[in-house]
Amino acid sequence: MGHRLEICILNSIGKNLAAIFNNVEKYLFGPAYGVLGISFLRSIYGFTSLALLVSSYANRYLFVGPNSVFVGDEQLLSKFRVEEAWSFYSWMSSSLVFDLFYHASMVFALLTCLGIFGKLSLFLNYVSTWSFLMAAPALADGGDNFMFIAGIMLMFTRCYNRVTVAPSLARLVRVPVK
Amino acid sequence: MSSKIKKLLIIATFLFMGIYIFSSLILTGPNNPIKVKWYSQIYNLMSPHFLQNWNLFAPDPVADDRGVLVKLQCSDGSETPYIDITTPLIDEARSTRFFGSRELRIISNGIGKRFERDELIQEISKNSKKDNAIHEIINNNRSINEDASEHLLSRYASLKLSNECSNGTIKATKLRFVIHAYPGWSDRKDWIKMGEITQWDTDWRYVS
Repeated sequence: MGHRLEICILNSIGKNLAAIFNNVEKYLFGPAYGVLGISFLRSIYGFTSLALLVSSYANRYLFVGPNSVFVGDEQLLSKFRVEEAWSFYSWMSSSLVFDLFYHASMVFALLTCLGIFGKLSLFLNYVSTWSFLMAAPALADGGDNFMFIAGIMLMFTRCYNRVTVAPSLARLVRVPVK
Repeated sequence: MSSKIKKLLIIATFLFMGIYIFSSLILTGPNNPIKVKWYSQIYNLMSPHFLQNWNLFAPDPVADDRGVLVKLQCSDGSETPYIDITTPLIDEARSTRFFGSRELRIISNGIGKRFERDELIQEISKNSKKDNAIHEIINNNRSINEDASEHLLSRYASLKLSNECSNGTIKATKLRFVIHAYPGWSDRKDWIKMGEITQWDTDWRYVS
């Protein structure tokens, strides 16, 4: 009798486990949820970029301006930055061009957050945040490091199919979800 | 797309991902023979867009309060007293709940750079303590880091404190590092007890 009960219990555990695994698998790898997760990550990427640029706004001339701590001193920059790294801010000598690029960066970050203009805004956001932190390497942390890597990886995903305020404008690269 | 091209693409993607994951494991992982032998190749592959390091918590986690003060020499020869450039930024960071300014990181990363040690050189030096060539490499590495640290902090101070000199031009800066080690674990309930305070001054550094 006891033997039978064990088999019964094991059977029910097995069935339940299978059901749980099925659900987890559906959630992780099912097309709709996968796209939702990756789109959410993209939105957060835009939001944190925007937060970085907004919180540095008052100090932007000190951080990345043409005569800032690092950009105004090529020798110092080479002591802190990875050798092959590049930055748009190092190539800007006029403060007007600098201001234009800084404000444009904020717009790219907002567009990425809201999910407008697809991978185009994602790419421009990557370029602008990379430029910002490579022009001021002492301001970066491990989170920014992840952000860069995630930014490149997101370029290979359908991260514009969800979490967007204007689905028609995100259609630039939109692939229909099965 | 024909199925042959599709298969090739799938294989290429897996190869790319495999190489990427393997390289980041080698780069961020602890020291091992593969890292010693193939470091430069793997580094070149990952640099600059995929580099990462995990040195925040290991091997030398921050376990003290670190600050820096700065003394300015103006172009007319007058000198200012030591000015604390750390505390106002810490106060500012603490008073901001969300997304505070990152200005404090210039100071903390500047001081941190001074104590940064190359992991691989440390590992090699453990095994050959009496080797003079290794000692030279270690000292060289240390002086490069100290120079970078002082360069950053004095450059930042000369930009930030440009109003301190009456005629507006700063000739040289002198830094004072202050390190406050925490009292030990056994004194954790004694709120008045202070840890050991160490301080040292650098030479005058002329602003270029």
